[in-house]
Amino acid sequence: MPIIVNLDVMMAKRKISLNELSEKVGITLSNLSILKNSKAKAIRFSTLEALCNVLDCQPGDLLEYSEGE
Amino acid sequence: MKYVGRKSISSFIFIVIKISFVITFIGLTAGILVFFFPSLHEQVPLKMSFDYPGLSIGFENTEDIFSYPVYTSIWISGIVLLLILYLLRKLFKNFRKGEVFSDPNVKTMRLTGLSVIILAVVNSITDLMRGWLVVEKLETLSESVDLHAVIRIDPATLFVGFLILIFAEIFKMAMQYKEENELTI
Repeated sequence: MPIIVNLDVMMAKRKISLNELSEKVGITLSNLSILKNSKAKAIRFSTLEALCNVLDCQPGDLLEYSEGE
Repeated sequence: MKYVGRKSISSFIFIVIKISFVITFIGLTAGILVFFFPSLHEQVPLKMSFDYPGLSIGFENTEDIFSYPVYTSIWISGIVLLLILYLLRKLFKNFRKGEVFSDPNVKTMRLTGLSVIILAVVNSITDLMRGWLVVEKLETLSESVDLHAVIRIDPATLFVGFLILIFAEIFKMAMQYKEENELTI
């Protein structure tokens, strides 16, 4: 898929673990792993909103479009 | 009423298919034994009847029913029927477990649809073989009776086969929707 999820980059920048993020955002660890590994087919606005809120970033910081992928 | 899962209609159909599979398997095995060991059908009086709408023609203790074309075609029909029962058994076993929209089920349904279409074709050949046998036996009765063996594919069986193939594609689409739904975070 040409949409890349840069969740791991943002998590490293904010020095937050997957467990902690899972608890703060309120989504399961397995769903967060699916998102982190770019295996998700879609993301809800509510999830994106929660992630941006916890990681203090913009949706563009988490999602990237790559033509070649 | 429960349709899928334990103690459901699927569970009941699974048991019916399982019994039908065993009966068909025993019947086919017995048929093979009788064919390859002629001493068996010499001891047991055998009768083969051909049913047509409003008519049943029976042949008793005749060697003709053991002729290769008639017997082989009936035997091939039996094998295809056994395959269909096996595939349905597999499908309803998954339904009983609660697995409905999955890749193995789509593949099984596709194979079942194709097998039903093959069965329609094989059955038409079997009917033709039986027709030849009936014509051969009865054409000497009277000159005024005009008998012909004709090949005709059963449209109902063919229709069911294509219907199963369409349902397999619908199952595939449903499976994709389910996957997309599961992978929406």
